[in-house]
Amino acid sequence: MCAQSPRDRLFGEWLGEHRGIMARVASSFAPGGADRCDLEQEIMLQVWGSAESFGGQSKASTWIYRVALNTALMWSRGLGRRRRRIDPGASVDAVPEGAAGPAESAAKVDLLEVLYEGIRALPDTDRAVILLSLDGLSYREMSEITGLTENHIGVALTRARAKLAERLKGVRNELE
Amino acid sequence: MNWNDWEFIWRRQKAPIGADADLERLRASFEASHRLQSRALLVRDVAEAAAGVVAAAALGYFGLRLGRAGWPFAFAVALILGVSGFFVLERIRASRIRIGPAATVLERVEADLAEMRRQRKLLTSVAVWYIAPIFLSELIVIATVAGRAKPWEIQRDPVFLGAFVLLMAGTNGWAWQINRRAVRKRIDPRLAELEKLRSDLLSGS
Repeated sequence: MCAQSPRDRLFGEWLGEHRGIMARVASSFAPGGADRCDLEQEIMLQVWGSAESFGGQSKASTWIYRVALNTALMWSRGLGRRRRRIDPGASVDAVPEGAAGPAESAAKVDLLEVLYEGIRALPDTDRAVILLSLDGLSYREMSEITGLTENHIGVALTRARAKLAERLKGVRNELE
Repeated sequence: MNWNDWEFIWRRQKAPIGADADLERLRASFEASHRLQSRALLVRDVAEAAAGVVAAAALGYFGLRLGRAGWPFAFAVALILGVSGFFVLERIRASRIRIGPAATVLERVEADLAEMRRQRKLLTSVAVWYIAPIFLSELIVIATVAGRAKPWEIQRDPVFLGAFVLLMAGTNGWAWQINRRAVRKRIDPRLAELEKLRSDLLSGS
């Protein structure tokens, strides 16, 4: 059995504590199935690759959020290009992937997946701030991750929440 | 349902288990992609720099064979080496401004934007730093060879010379078109995406 390198050890610790960050970022940017798995793998790959340059200059979670969001945003831009190549007229947000028909959704509503679908339908930057907010990060932490000022975060979050609430209104009505 | 309900649903989701990430597979995948990328970059850089050096060496050889009359070839060699040097300097500059993997989202977007703008600038000014020196060096070679030829030799034939210059101009014009097309089809859409992303990030409205 070979000894673990410091990078592997650190990554192992990160996986234990922060694996959820990678999964949630992937699920917020990629629709289900192969895309989500690909993005999650890519995020893990980038986080593992970045572990060597981590010197404790920020909290591990901040570091992981940054790497994961940068990877997801880059992936998302690439996805947009790939989709445009396939169908120049298609709108990425027009039909949420895996959307259920009315009868089916009335019968069974996976609220978490509905929430993810709502998040994925938002513009990239709104997705990022909503995700960080739902994960319970403070404005200061969100500012460290995004590079925006706390004031900006506040404004962006209000705007993103309004958009998300609008998208989730249908579900709300359906349930009430 | 209000926002707190959605937050509750979010926080109730199960955290994935860390053990399903295969370190060996990640390492192999990372190293393979890193190796591929490094090799591609090396091949590109060497090819770009070497093409100029080989062309300059060939011109130098023919210039020397012409003896004293071949002195204008020195200018042609200098122009081609200048283009190669420019390529090398650009690569060095680009490698120095790369930012780390855990830069903030805004820093990453701005770095990508700066890199894309730099590429656009290079491609739109390709006529100045690439096509013009190459075309000029071609003209120097043609003029020198024609000047040394006997009046009855084909190198002095105006029709031949005109056709040759037209061919060179056409080739260079085609190279310019390819670069313009790359700007239009590849760079501009990405630039627009990045600018939108940056403006979304910074928009306070």
